Formats: sequence, C-alpha cells, structure tokens
Amino acid sequence: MSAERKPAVDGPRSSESETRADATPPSRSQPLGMTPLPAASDARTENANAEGTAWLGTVLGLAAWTMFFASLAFAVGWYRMREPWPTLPVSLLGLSLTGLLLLVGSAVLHLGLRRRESPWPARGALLLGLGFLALQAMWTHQAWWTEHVRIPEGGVSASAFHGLTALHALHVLVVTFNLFLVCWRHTRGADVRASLRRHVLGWHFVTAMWVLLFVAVYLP
Amino acid sequence: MSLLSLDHKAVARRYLWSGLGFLLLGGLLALAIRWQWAWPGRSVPGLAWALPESHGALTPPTYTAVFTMHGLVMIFFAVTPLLFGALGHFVLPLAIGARGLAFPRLSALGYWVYALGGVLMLASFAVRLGPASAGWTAYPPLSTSAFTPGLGQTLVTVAVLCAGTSAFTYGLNFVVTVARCRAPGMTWGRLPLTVWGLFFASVLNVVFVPVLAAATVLLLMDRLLGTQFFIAGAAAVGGGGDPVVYQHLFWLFGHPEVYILILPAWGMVGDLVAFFSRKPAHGYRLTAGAMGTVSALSGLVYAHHLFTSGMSPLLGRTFMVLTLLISLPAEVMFLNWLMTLWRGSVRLTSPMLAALATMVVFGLGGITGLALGAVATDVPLHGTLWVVGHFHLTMGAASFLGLFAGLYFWFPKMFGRALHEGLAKVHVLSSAVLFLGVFGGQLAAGYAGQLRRLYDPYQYTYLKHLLPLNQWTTVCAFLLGAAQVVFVVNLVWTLRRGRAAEANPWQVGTLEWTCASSPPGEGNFTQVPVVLRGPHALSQPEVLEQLGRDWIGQAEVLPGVAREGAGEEALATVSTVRSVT
Repeated sequence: MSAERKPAVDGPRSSESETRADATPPSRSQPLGMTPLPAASDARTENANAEGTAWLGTVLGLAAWTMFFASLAFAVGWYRMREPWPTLPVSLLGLSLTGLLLLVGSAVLHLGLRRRESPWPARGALLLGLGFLALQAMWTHQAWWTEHVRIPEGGVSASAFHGLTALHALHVLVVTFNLFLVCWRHTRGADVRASLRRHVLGWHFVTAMWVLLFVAVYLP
Repeated sequence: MSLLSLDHKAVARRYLWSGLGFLLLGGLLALAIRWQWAWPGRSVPGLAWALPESHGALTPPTYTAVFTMHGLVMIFFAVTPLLFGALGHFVLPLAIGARGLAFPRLSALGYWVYALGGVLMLASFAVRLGPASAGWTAYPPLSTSAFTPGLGQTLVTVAVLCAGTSAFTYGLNFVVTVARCRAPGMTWGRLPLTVWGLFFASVLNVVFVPVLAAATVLLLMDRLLGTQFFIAGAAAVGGGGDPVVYQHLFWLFGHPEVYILILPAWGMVGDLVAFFSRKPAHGYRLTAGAMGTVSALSGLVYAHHLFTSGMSPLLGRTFMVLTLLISLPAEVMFLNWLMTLWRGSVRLTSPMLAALATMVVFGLGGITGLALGAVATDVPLHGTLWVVGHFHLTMGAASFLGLFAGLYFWFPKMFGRALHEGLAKVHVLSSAVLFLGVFGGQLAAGYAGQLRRLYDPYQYTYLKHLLPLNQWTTVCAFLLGAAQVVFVVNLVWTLRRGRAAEANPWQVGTLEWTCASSPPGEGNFTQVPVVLRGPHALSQPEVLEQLGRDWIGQAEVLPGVAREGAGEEALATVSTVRSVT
C-alpha cells in the first residue's frame, strides 16, 4: 500500500478508464494534472470489462446476501438449542428430492455454460425451477391442510417451516424469472452468454441456501 | 438535471435534498423530545395544529412515537443517506478518477427505493394510532402487533427495509466501483482517506444490512402473518418464540451501523486534517489499516449491547474484551490525526473547523463509550441517558460534523458556487459547542441516574433535582436548532446569488479538484487522468521550487521531472493500459 510507488494497473479496469486511452505524451497544455491516455480500444474490450464488473458485482452481492440466510439459520438454531425441534410430518425424502431438482439444475447450468450456443440447459433449468416451486408448494400445502402444521398454532417450528420455505421460494422465483428473461431474450436473437453466466450464479446461490434451509429447518 | 438521470452527481443531489429534509424533520422531533424533558406535559410551541386534543402537549403515546421516529428518521433517512447517498455518490467516482459508478442504474434504483421508504415514513404519521412507537430498535414483543397494532409500525418497518435495501445497493456499488473503476495509476495506496472510509463502510453495509433485513422480515411476518418468531409471554401461541433473538440480529447489524455512520466521517477528517495542515497525512497506511481493523472488529463486538439481557457471563467477558480492543485502532487513527496537525501550517477553514470539531466530539463520545464496553460499568449505566449522550456524540454529533466538513469542502465542486466562509464557520463552531452542551448534559443526567425514554422523569423523587440541568440542556438544543438557520440562509443565498467558486479553492491535489470542472460535466473528466502520486502531496520542496505553490495534483506531471521520473511513470502506465486493452 505504498503511497508513492510506480503506477500500475491493478487488475481489470473499468471500461471508461481503458477505452479513453490516447498515445499522446503528457503535455502542459492539458488541463491541470491531466495526463492523456491511449486511444480508444475496441468495443469488445469495453464489453469484456463491463462484463467483468457486472460479474464481480453479482458475486459480491450474492456472497453478501448469504448473510440474510445465515441470520435466518441463526434464529432457527437459537430455537433448536432452546428445546427439541419437532420432526416435520412431511416426507423428508420428498423434501430432499425436491431440493435435488435445484442441485440437478446447478449441474445442468454449469455444464451448459460450456456449450454456449445451446439454449437448452437454461430452458431445462427453468423447468426444474418451476418444478421445485410446485413441489415446495405441494409440501407446504400438505403440511398445512393434511398435517395441521399451521401458523400460529404450530409455534416457532411451524413458523420456521412455512416462513423460511416461503422466503427461499421467493428467491428461487426471482432467479427462475430472470432465467426466463434470459431465455426470452435469447429467442429474440440477443447474445445472452454474459447475462446467463451471472444468472447461473444466482441459481447456485439458491441451491446452496436450500441446503442451509434443509439442515436448519427440515432436519429433525 | 432530470429526476431520472443515472449520473452519480444527479443521484447525489437527490439524496442531498431528501436527506436534508429528513434531517430537518428528525431535528424538529428531537426538539419536541427535549421540550418534554424540560417542561413535561406543557404545550409544545407550534404543535397545537398537529395535536389539537392535547393543545400541542405531548401525551405519553405521542412522546413514545416522537422519540421512536426521531431515531429512525435520523439514522436511516438523514445521516446515512447524506453521508453515502449525497457525499459518497458525489465524491467517490471523482476521487478515484472514474467516469461514474460501476452500476449507474442500481444507484438510481437505490435512491427511489429510499424515497419510497421516506414516503412510507411520512405516511405513517397520518394513519390511525400514529407512527411507530416501539423505539428505534423496534424490539419485540413491543414492536409486534400485540403491543403496537397500528398500521404505522408496519409502514415504518417496511420503510426501514427500503432504507436497508437502498444502503445495500449503494454499498455494493461503491465496493465494486473502488475495486474496478479506479483511474490508471490510482493504486490502493493512493486513494484519498475519504475513499478508504467510504469503502470500508460500504463493505460493512453490504455484509450487515442483510442481517437487518432478516430481522425485519421475520418481524414483519410476525406482525402480518402471525408467525411466532419473536412473540413471547401471554400473546404467544404454541410455545412462542424469543424476543432476544431479534436483539442479537438487530445488534449484529446495529453495532457495525455505528461504524457505517462514522467511517466516512473518519476518512474525511483524515484528508481534511492533512489538506489544511498543508502536510502529508501522518501514517497514511496506519490510518487506512486502522479503519480496516475497526471494520473487521465491528461485527465481533455487538453483544456489548446485550450485557443486561441475561447472557452468559463468559460471553459478556468475551465481548467486553473485544469491545475494548476496538478502541486501539481508533486511537492509532486519532493519534495520526494529531501528528498530522503537529507543526503543520494549519488553516482554519470551515471544513477544517468541522473536521477538528468532529475529532473533539468523537473523542469524547469514544471515551464515554469505554464505560459501556465494560460489563461492570455498563450494567448500572445501561438504561440511562448516559448511553443516549454517548451514542449521540459518536453517531450524531461526530457524523453530523463530519458530514458538514465534507459538505463545506465539496460544495463548490457540487454546485460551482462558494458558500460564505464566515457564515459557515459560525455554523460549525456554534453547532460544535452546542452539541457538547446538549449531549454533555445528557451524559451528566445519565450519570446521575436519569433513565432514558421516561415520559416525565420528575415523577421519581430522586430525579427531581435534574430538572434545571435538563432545562439548560433543552435551551442548548433549541439554540443548536437555531444555529442550523445560519446554514440554511448560507445555502439558499449561495445557490441563488453566491459567487462562482474558484477552480481549486482549497488548493489541494486530489483528482476532483485538479482534473474536473466545477461542477463536473457528464463523464466527470475530459480525459481520464493517470495518477502519479498520493492525495496528500503537500509542502514538498521540489514542488515549491518548481511550481511556486505547496501542492501538486495527483495526476500532475512535475516539470523537469517529467522526462526522468513522473513522465516515465505516466508513459509506463499508458503502455500498461495499452497492454491490458
């Protein structure tokens, strides 16, 4: 962190910084302190930098948002330490298989990113996402109406089951909707590779958070 | 500029006007609280139109709502948005040589989410049963529908969620902007300390605001859907939840929030003390490192707010040690400021006076906080006005004065007009002295045992003798409010008829003052500068000799050295940039 060391470009720069470069040597006729930069490079570089910036923002944003689910898990952990956590009257295997859809979706998207031109992995993940949401809705419906795991009668465990499942499902819904937009833009001929790459991160995120939800809430 | 503009400067101005509006509202609410403590149950002048049934006097429920809304408005809608939304949005890209923020649309969206929250806050005053009244911390079960059933509490809870969302967006935006959008040559070691402060505070925003979001969402579900996360006691169903969980989550956000509010101010103080002492910042790396250390520790000390919640004594001791540890980097930073001042050519401009005042009130706030960091002294002081005085000195007065230090410093850059320096100095000095009067009075009353949030403290015999002290404190508070008129007059006059600002009125070398016009145009710079040195290159002999002035721009090539040193560096940078592209 030297205050006076040789200037260096630390990693990728913003598109603005790089594309306004100019080969003219430093001149005193410039506004005070201005040192001209190399001339504009091609649009592809600019796009690559913008993509890199968006990628970093997505990674940091999702990583930080993990704290949201970690906080929810902390709250449930507190209650679980307070008293025995009741076993859910919903099939644990069924819940696991539901989560498996997200895991499969993660794998499909990860592999699909290698075949950039094909829209099928994204479309497949879209279906898996909708399937996940439908199954989660089915399990909560069954818990509420058949097994009488209700709010507020069921206390904090029922609140955690329904509340946290719903919060996670909302996140999955957002990610699935974004994937839908990507697929839709792809059908209209847009280049969605960069966008898809970022949205796949969202899918991995909700998959990881489902594992957290499973451990914190669903396991007895 | 259009309300829909994505330019960071336009967004900053939106935050500025909105934040100042909420600062006025929060200040008026504060005066109502102070009036109640000085003349309990007497009509508040000018409030009869709002409270016709009590002829303008605060009733106990109104009083509770007033102090709740004061805290929420000030923290979430005034000070934070002014420091980050206004100054951060404006200064950060300019100071690092970027043409804008990394995500301009996210930045504009963040403002509109904040504005929606502000509308909900204001709307809550108009609904039946009034606004929120569970304290700014919104502790359950008080904040659950069992105790605050009105729509106002719900609206305010959603409003806080909106403010948090906005904070998350600009936090993320700032972090990515600093990481990705710095001008060539702007290494981490050449960032102004203001940028360091904003960067660390943004990291804290991004990491801890989701915790607040989780607590608030669970609370909202308790209020609206009947979940039982925080409900306990007679209102609980099926065993109920635990309100203490909310307290842990809230303070896991709440304590870093203290640093979120003060880190940008620390950064500004570090820069301004160097600029106006005409010296390089003493221990630049240590100061930046100290801010980083404080940020890293800030999430590990939160439970000192819960010493009286019945937590394990072992945990209490652990958090006490961590809390006291965090004062060490803060002291390193403070000593660096003093060393920068030492034997400097100090210029007492309005930003410098505000920076010095920030140091004083923050120092006092920090020292009084030590008593709250240690279990043995926290237990008797915890529920008293001592806590209120302490956190108002750090989060309120220090942030406020730091904010005005920045505002006075960058105002010419923001608007291209120069504020009246004399009026600015009067405003800063009177505010600083009166802050000490108000919050010093609170510390004294708290030390004497006055409990916070009491509607009428003098119902207790042992507190009756504190009435004159509270009345004097209230007089200071009203004078403090009056002192802000000086700022308003100065602001309005300058915007309408103020003289045009000089290109570099403070004679400093940072990019915004040396490479951009005032106010900066679209894209900030005609050409992105190549940075050659740090932000505090002041009073350097070779610069004095060759340029005849004691400062040099961060991207300015020193004549004569151009061929041998700086010019080569600049050209090296140019070739590096080319090789990257």
